Amino acid sequence: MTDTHAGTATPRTGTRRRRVLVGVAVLAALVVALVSGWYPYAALAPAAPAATLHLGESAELDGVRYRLDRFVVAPALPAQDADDPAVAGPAGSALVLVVVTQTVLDRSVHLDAHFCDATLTDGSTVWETDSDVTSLAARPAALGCADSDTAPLRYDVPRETGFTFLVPATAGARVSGRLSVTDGPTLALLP
Amino acid sequence: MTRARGVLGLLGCLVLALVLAVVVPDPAEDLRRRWSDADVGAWAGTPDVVARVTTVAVVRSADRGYGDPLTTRDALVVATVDAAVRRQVVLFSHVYLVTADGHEYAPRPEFVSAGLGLTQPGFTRRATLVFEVPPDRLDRAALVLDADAASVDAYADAVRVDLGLRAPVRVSPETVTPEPATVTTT
Repeated sequence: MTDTHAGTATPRTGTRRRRVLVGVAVLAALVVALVSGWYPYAALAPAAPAATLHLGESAELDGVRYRLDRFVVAPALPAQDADDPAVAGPAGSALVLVVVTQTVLDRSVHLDAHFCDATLTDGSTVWETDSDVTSLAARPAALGCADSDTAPLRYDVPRETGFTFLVPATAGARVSGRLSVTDGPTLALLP
Repeated sequence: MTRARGVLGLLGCLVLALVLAVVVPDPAEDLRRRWSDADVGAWAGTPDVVARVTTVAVVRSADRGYGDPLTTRDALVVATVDAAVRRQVVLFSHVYLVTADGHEYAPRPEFVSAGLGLTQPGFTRRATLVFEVPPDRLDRAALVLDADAASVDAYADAVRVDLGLRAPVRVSPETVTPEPATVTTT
């Protein structure tokens, strides 16, 4: 007696296989949609700080030592030119100067591509550096973390970077800073 | 029969995809907006900015503060705007006048110091915007404060203010002098 069905798919098993394939295809499409949709929104969320620095504290992250040297909140800041009057914003505003000293210790860090971005926040509002205040107020020559003609960055040599902000005076007492290094760590800066 | 039905189904899907590709606008060019509309004098807002237009003038000439005034054979729409920024910095990099037939006009660059620029949250910028527009396109023109960066996968918030211009719009021969922009705490 011979089994005529041996090695061949019956209509029932063929239907089941098609259903499994369709199910796998739908599942794969859902996974791709989920992952591709999640990444852009995950990138929008601010990165959690790798370290928190209070005034005078330092931390070494990814081969760079960061120290928070100044966190000044004042109605006015001294002008770059000592003969000029102090720099102030509109009535009811405060100026903030944050100075971070960084020392690059790791030779694999590219000095001319060591970019960073500084912001202030009170938890719900975010302030960026203000170009008007930056151009007028006395501050370190370096405006960013990378090497520049006006503020050279060298290995093992500490260098100050200054960030200046304009905020409402009502927010001045409760702001903290964030320093985000491109493709690197984020530091929380507390006065 | 089953194979023929499958091929027909596949062809139907391909035709449907082709029709959708032709009919549906390119999302990168036709970005979706969530409009906040207002008339002159009324506030309109997005999560990042609340704005109102306080005055609108249609003139032939505007003083640039240097050299001869800017004079046109068309019309200069001069709008004074208060923009209160909240939550995060706003660049106002995409501000324009849009006509009823969809033409967009950017502010005249000669008046950049009077216009809208980077504003920190918690501050209100008072600015004057100057647009050069053919008079016959002013009927139902609106001022748009668009999002700095629009996204193809989400709605972008934007303010749209009806400037109250209705045909026929009279162009005043007077010369106006836009004041430099000012910033105050909100």
